[in-house]
Amino acid sequence: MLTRTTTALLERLADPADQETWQAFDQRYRPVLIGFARRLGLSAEDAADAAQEALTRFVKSYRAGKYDRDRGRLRSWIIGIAKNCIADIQQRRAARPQRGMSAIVELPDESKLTAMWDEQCQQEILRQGLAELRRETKTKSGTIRAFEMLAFDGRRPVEVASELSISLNDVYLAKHRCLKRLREILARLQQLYEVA
Amino acid sequence: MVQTPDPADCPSMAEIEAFVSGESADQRLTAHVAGCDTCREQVDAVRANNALMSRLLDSQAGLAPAGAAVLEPGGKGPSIPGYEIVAEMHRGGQGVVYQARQVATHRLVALKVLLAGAFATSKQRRRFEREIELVAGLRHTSIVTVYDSGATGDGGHWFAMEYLEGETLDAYVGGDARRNLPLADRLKLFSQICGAVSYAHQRGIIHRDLKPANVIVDAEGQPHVLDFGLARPINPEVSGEQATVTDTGAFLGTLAYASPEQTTGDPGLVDVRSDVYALGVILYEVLTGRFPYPVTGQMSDIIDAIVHTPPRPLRPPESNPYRLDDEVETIVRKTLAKEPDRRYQSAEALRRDVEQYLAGEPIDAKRDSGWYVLRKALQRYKLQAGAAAGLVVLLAGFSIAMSLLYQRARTEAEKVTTIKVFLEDTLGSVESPGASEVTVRNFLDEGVYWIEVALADRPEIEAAVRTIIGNAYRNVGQFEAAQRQLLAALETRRAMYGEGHLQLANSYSSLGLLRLTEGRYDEAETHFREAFDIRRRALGQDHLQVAMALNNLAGLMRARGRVEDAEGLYRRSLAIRTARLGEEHADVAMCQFRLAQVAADKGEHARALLLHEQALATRRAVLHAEHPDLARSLEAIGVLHMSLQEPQLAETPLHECLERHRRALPAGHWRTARAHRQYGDCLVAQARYAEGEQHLVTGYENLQTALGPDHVETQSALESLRALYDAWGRPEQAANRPARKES
Repeated sequence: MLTRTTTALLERLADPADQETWQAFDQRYRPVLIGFARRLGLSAEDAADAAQEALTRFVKSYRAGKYDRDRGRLRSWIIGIAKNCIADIQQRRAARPQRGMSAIVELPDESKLTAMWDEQCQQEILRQGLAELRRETKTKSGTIRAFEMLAFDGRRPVEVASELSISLNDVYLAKHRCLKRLREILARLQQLYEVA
Repeated sequence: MVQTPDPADCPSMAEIEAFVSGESADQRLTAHVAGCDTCREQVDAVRANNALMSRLLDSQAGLAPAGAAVLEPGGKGPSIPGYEIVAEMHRGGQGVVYQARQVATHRLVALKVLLAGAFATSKQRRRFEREIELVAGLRHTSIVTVYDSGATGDGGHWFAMEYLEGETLDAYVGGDARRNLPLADRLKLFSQICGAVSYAHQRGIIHRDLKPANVIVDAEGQPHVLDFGLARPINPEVSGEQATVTDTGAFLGTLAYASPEQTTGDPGLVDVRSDVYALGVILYEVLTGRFPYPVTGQMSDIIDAIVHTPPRPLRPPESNPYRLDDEVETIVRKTLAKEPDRRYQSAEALRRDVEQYLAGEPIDAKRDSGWYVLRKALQRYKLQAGAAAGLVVLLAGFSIAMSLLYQRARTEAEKVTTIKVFLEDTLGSVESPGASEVTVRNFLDEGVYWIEVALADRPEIEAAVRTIIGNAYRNVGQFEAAQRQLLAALETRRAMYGEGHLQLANSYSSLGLLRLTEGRYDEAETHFREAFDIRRRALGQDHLQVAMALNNLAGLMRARGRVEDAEGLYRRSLAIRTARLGEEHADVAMCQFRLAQVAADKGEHARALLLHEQALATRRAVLHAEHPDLARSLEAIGVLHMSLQEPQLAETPLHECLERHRRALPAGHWRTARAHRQYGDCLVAQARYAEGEQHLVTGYENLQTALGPDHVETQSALESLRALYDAWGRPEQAANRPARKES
């Protein structure tokens, strides 16, 4: 479970022996980076490469003291690193063009990239929030099951009620409880991702 | 006007949902919500819920990052055919571990799903796939069994392994429940881990990422090592610059357990000994609760510490102050040696030493460090055949002295280190392009110089080292130099310990041996008796060191021709050794051998033969196959048969003796030459003249070269040749022999 703010993580990240902090940071940003790279057109494998490389470069220059702790700088800094890594891989691909792949490397402008990054972060927060919700409610399997059928399978409440043999009202109660809790979790995660 | 709402009147959740969605236009409901705070809140919540719900549904469509897809296909965990996910157990940088049930067998497994990005290159992925097949073949009580593995649709990998309940090793030994876990239990636990690692090594699998978090200790206290062979080295090609494994997220957490060669990032340098090193860090942590060197601060500082900083001396946890003695320290240091060559060469060797320590037996680490230096010296010296033989004798003397020193130094780790440094410096300092010119004597002189400058303030070590050097000088016939060193050692010890101290007995013994070698028997006897008296007083009648003193005295008596006295002394020594060591021991065999020699001196050849046969049988049982004492026993038996006029019985042992010398000694060695002569005599005595001639000629010529024409061995070989030609009826050839000697 995520409990520390990114700011708190950054404070400890300079200590290479602090495995937990690194893992938490990695866990927080690797999926964002992978999704970001995918959105910029990389294959799943290349996106994973780009994320690995970006994290490597990030921690290296962070520990070399190149990070300026002004408010909001973290995002543009990581985006800058990620952009370079992605461009590098695209260039390598371009040098050895594969079927149907454009040889021209063009990345969107700064504001677009930032918007994409934010969306990716939101996506990741959502993902982590859902995982946390599942962990919390795993004992009440009927509740989570009903919620998941609504949220992910797009089923209608009446169908869920009949399939799970519960009342329609119970379906709505399950939906209400899960979403209410999820919103709380997301609000907390949102704060954790904010860099103060 | 606001109605006071009656909770019983509040609509159900289904009704509120209908209200929010506009499906219901019930006036009564609208009126209620307008006046009921609880219901207004519910309505707001449902609106917020629905907004989130539409985001979730949208995300489903747009959510396609490679990593997330594997982990998040609809809340049920990944879909792996044949498995049902039960719960998520752990989420880490590399992937997620689920508790799952294997459908076919109904058994619970831990299912690890690696992120698609777990491998930087496809080459690494293929290697992983090969490795996981090997790992799946491991069956060991202390290795987490891997049952099955496969690929997810989009480049991710999973594997199913034994599901275990327990704690990680650090939590286990650091936990409150085990605060008082005794040293022996900690070592036993560690030994089991070594056993598991060794098992995998023997099957060609290196772990590469051993750390306490990769060891689960179950409720019975049994350790289980997991994630064999799964650590991923990062290919520098991919990162584009000279990145090392330590720069990557995957490695960072475990940097503290990395070996010096792993910090270079060159995977070619990583072998089983890197795992041995990681085991060393784990051992250090299990024993002390700390790391061997600081592992906080800048990464470059940590790497520097791994590569350069020697481990801090062991200190038990404050809450559990067990005694960490010198032997444990030695084991830890050898495991954490910076150079792979100086570590335990296998997890098995490490495990054995830990077990030997637990059983109270001497550990190999100490012996090895001495032999290491000697082996290294032998490699460095490129000596001519003759000089090499001398050096072998010298080094054998050294090694005996070294092992004695180690026994004595056991209480003081520092002593060991100092002596080791001394030997390295001494042996190393004479290394030069002209190394083949280096004589044993130069080599010893270096040592003396070193003592004087470096050991000036360490008298007890100085004395020990002077004794070694003195004995070595005696071995090479430099009696004056030997006397200087041995007397200096004696004086130092006398000043330090006072007359009658056990340390002085060692000096007296060495001096006695020197005098015996010089033929100064009276002085030798005085020294040997002093050594004997001191040891008997300090250690009691039946101590092994007393037996050693008895042997020295006996040897002197025999040299003086007092065979009866010698025999009595050897018998007393034999009684002590047999009682202490049992029948099957090299030192017992040595006493039997000496008694046999004395019996032969007295002309009791049959009894001598019997004793020699006993000694040989023991030696064959306890010594390694090429030990020189075996050749000596064979020679003695052969010579006795010759004296008893039984050449046909002498033939087998003399032949074996000759073959052993041929194998073990440099070409042209005088011992081999003498064995040719003895075997030749034996053949001649059986009238096999042509065969005998070959051996006698070879023996004579080599003795001439090795010892000179006037040496007693050369002369007796010449005698043998003459006797051959007489018996053969070819006196003219006998007459030619001395002529050749002059040419």
